[in-house]
Amino acid sequence: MAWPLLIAAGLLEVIGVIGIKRVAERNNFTNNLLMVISFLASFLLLAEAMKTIPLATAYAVWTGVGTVGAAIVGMICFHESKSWMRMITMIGIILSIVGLKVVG
Amino acid sequence: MNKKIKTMSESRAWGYVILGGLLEIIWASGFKYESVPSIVVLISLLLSFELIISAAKILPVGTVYAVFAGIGTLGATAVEIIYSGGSVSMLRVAFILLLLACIISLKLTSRGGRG
Repeated sequence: MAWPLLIAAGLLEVIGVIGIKRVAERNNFTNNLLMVISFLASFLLLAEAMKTIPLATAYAVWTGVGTVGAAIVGMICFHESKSWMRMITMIGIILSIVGLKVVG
Repeated sequence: MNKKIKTMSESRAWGYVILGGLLEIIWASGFKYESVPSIVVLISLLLSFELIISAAKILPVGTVYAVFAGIGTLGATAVEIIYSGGSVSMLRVAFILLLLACIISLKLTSRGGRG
């Protein structure tokens, strides 16, 4: 169960970052709530996942999922580069995560 | 070229990134190991956020996150190796380094059309 929690923690971090962007644009209650709740949930799930997953693996996977998620959001919403190189690095992150899951 | 603007200097901003990265190692380790007091975890978590957001206002965001992720990941790996007395599988470390290389590459190319 720890791995799904860890992946969810990474995805929630992406929502938190979207929250930061929204707060920067419009500093209202809803955007602040989105930002705080997302990050809080992300950290709680990360802490929970770390009870069974080793520190270095958990941290790297959490950051990796967050990075891929942010890149996808950036490509869709903020016209970030969609180069082959970026696609390959995204696949590389996913494969590394799978590798870490397999080696345990 | 260096126009004076009312913000902190770039070198100070880089200092923030490095300090933020080090604090990231502290809170992440605190999540895993109970020997780190909760209050230290909480303060380092909030402070690392604050430092990174401040730095990202001045420096290129992709570069800031790449350095930050690098310090955090390598730091977490070092802490785990120390804590476990060196009993960390080399294969796992290799995957973590591959993951980190991809993360850094992806972060550095986050600006559309450049790099």
